[in-house]
Amino acid sequence: MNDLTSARAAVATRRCRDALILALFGASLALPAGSAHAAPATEQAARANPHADQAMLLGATRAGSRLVAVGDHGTIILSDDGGKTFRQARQVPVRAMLNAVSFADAKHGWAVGHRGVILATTDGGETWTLQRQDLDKDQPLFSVLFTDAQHGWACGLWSLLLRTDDGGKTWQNVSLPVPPGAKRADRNLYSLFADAKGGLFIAAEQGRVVHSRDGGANWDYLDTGYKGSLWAGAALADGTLLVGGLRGTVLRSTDGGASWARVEVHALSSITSISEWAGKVQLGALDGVSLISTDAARSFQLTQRPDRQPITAVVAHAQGSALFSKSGVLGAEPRGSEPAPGALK
Amino acid sequence: MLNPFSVDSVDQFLTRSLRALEGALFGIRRSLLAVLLVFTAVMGWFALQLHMDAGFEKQMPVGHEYIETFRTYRDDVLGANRITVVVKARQGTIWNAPALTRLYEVTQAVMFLPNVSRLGVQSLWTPNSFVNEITEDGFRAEPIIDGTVTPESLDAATIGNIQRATSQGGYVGTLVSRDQTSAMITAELNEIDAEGNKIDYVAYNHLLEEQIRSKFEDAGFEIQIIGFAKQIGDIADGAKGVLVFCAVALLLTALAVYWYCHSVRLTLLPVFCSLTSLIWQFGTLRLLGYGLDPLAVLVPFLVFAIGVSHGVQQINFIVREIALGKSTDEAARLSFSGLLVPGTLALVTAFVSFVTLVLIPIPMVRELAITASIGVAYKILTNLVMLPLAASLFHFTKDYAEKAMTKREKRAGWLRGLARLAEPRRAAGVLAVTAVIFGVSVWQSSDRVVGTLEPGAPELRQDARFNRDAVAISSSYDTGLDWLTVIFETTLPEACENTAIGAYQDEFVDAMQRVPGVMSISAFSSQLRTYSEGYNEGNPKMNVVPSDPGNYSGLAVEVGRMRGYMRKDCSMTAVHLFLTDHKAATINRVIDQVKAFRAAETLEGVSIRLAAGNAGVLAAVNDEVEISELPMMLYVYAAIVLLVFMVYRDFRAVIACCLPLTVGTFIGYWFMKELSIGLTVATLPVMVLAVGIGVDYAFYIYNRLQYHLAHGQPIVKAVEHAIMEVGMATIFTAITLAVGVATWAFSALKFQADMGKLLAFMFLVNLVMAMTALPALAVWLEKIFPRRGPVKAPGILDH
Repeated sequence: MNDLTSARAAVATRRCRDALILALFGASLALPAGSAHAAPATEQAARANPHADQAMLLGATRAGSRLVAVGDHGTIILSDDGGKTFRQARQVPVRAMLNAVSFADAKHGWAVGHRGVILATTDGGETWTLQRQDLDKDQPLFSVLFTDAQHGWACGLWSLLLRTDDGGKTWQNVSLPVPPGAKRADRNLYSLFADAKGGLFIAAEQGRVVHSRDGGANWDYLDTGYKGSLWAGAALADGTLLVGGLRGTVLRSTDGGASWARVEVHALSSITSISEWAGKVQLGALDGVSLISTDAARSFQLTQRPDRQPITAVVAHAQGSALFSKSGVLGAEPRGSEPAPGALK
Repeated sequence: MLNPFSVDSVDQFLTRSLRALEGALFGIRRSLLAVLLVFTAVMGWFALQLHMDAGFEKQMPVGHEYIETFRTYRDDVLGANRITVVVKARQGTIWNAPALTRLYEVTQAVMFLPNVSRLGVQSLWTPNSFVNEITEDGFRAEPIIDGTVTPESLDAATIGNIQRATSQGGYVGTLVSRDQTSAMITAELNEIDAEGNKIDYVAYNHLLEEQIRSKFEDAGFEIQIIGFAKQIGDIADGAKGVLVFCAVALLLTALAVYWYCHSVRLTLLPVFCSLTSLIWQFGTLRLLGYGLDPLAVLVPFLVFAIGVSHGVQQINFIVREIALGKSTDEAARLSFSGLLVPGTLALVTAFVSFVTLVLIPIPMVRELAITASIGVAYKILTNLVMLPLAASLFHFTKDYAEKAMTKREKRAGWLRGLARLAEPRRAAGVLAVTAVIFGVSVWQSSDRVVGTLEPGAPELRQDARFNRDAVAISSSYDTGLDWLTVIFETTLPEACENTAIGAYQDEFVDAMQRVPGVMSISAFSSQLRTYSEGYNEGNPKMNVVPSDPGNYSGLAVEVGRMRGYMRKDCSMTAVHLFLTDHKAATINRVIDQVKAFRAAETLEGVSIRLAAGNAGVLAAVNDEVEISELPMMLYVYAAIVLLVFMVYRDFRAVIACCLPLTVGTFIGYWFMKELSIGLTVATLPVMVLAVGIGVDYAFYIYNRLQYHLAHGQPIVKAVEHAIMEVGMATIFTAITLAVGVATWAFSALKFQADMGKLLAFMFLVNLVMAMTALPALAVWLEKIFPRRGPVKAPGILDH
């Protein structure tokens, strides 16, 4: 039975986030936090897995010339040959799903994920230590960004934003202002990115980009004009801002976020990842869709993998780009194919 | 008082009783035969009411851990009774109007089949197939084929929309094959219909053929059907075909007997006597309330074959006596008293072999054991009593007897060559060769296959329509044919909010994913993950088991709407492991890994139970077969040792009879391995029976050997004489039996073909062993352990 098939039974048409909030509040009344349940298996160290490169992977980055990808069940894998072969990190203290990873330099890196987990490494990803977790709330972290080995940010569900100025020894909660037209700050924050001028951005829910021009002291909301979720964002080398979201949504700003224009990509697959390499911009999306631009994201060429593996991360490296998916590492170049009808408008 | 330890008094007592019995029975032979005739008529009337009775339940071992799990949760887990119909375009894809129209028609036809719950039918055309489109405003559910679309209104644009929706909804691989050349319809069958009648699978299978296959299969489209109803129906149909093979075997046997004795009357006699006991057996089955199980249908005919073999020994005896100048009446009397004891001994070993089958706690096998034991018990009456009684009514001229005898002497000429193998130097050679063969077969038969190897239904042949359909479907859809269901059971209250159970199961799924032999996994926890992702706009980063109790229980309610993953109160949640095949090695490896996880990682209040699914049932059956094999063999050998020792009072006899049998058994195992015949519920009885029946030859040969030794002949001469006297009858019987059962090799059912091949081979191996290794062994045992006193032949054997 295909997992996707079963999703069909879900018929709710109200906003899913509302359902989650309702469920969460309902439950917190019914059950005292941290009740007598046995310690979850997720708090144990990740298992050694000879096929870790086939695990569900959700985030990836570069640490110097090394590729580092993170994912399901505390999986962290490393490659020193441009993504040809991967090996599992020697020591990961949790089994929670890891969603994102960021390195400040070749040695210092952080990975974040579910159960509020933040892991840190000082040896280029070989071994990791636990800096934070929050077992009381189901509030996952979706993204992490370190501008140097001391200063970093992590963000997640319901406007959860954390910062550190000591390399993660301590993490502080950052309160965001209430978004315009809302009662409280409860936007899901999906993807952190920074531009060359010190500007910080977070691609978020309801078409908003959360923004700080002063290194995180003050935050405001940029309106892209789009209504759906934005899952990915990047500041390109020329200063262009690019965000991607649901159903093939790609938005572009050349004025630091003041105004946004939609880029037509002729795809209905949600964008999960943005990467820039060798003058090209590459977007990874669900349904095996990959989009490549050679004109600074003004237009994109679409290819769809015949296996439709949902691409979750794209990372540039010396030889090109590496793709990661829900079924692990994908071949570097998706074999081009006729775009399937499902992916196209 | 009878002293049981005194050979002489026992013999005298037995001999006296035998004579008395003979006198009594032959005195009232006409009335006795009349009574038996009436009895046969009555039993025949009952036998005619016997019908094929297929049972799913009967095939499962009683009390096995896995089966207990299966029984407890059979209504809660996947596909206990579902049929799958696939419409396949012979050319091109299904994305055209004729193909989609055909799919529509078949979907309608399936919906209107009896015992089908209409709402549960699913195909591209049913409203329960819809696609969730994630939009900026939440998500929208749309049917794959809009309610307004009819087969008549299919145009290129509509078909394009259907194709897109199918792909979007993830139905490629489930409702449409991966190569898009076929589409699937699934339906759940209710075993009990609205009126409370239990489904008749044999009839239902015919209905499927009539209403679905023959109606909709043509040059343009193929219809593939799989499911339990189809499988058991096909097996029952195949089992009926075995009657033809039995008729052929009967004819071959009759022809052979005629060639052997050149008398129509003597040919018909053993055949009819054996048929009589078959009629009794069928009648008894009906009276006991049993049906004829398609999986056990061969056994009565096996018993029939045994009967013929003993009948031939009677004919052999009678003709020999007539040739020696006795009247037909006297010859029949002598044959009765001469063969009653060795015949009974032989049948008792066969009986014991059948009885040991009761050791396998599978109801079907136990039923088989009862059926067969009854049959063998009846044989004692029909072949050892009724046959000589009936024969005594015939009249044969001395002329006929002499002619028959001369002919046989002529035929037996070449037996002299065989008998010379008993000369000590040649015998040593025979023993050396036997030892080598024994060694090689022990070595070659290690790592024998337990269970079955081929995909699909193991009872059916690889090229049977059902198995071709099954392989076609499993290779083009994501649904596996072999699955093992692991149950997570909890007694904890409010299990639906206990997120630790889901997390524990998620870890289990992660651990099992990498086990070789596991193709894919579908579990409660993986459904939770899928729903979590779906409720979060399809974001892969939310593909997790929620750790918030409220959210968890909310999604559990969603999962609970689907069949097969849980009980509503979350006290049971299931993990379905789809396997690459159902080889015992694969299933065992997966089960071992489940046990390893269960031992290494525990969660208080939660137990991991093995195992439902067809692989779970297979594993349980394999377990029982493997566990039962050794004790069954030991019991049969113990019975043989005991009987041989009782009759001959000589350890040499025990060794000479048993060793060749053991060699034969191992050669049989080697044969099984070479032909990829697994040790199964069907072949284990064959191996055990082969020992029980194979010892007959040893009985007959050793019987004469002992007689000649007692009359003062040296061992080599005694062996030669014994072979000359009974060799022909033994070879004849073995070959006749082998040819008879070899015809089963053409059966439509794989397990019957396996049984036939194996049994035919075992008859021949046991024959060769009895004619070569046994005499050689007897000669050398006599040399190594010389006798201190004269050999005593028990009086009852002195015929």
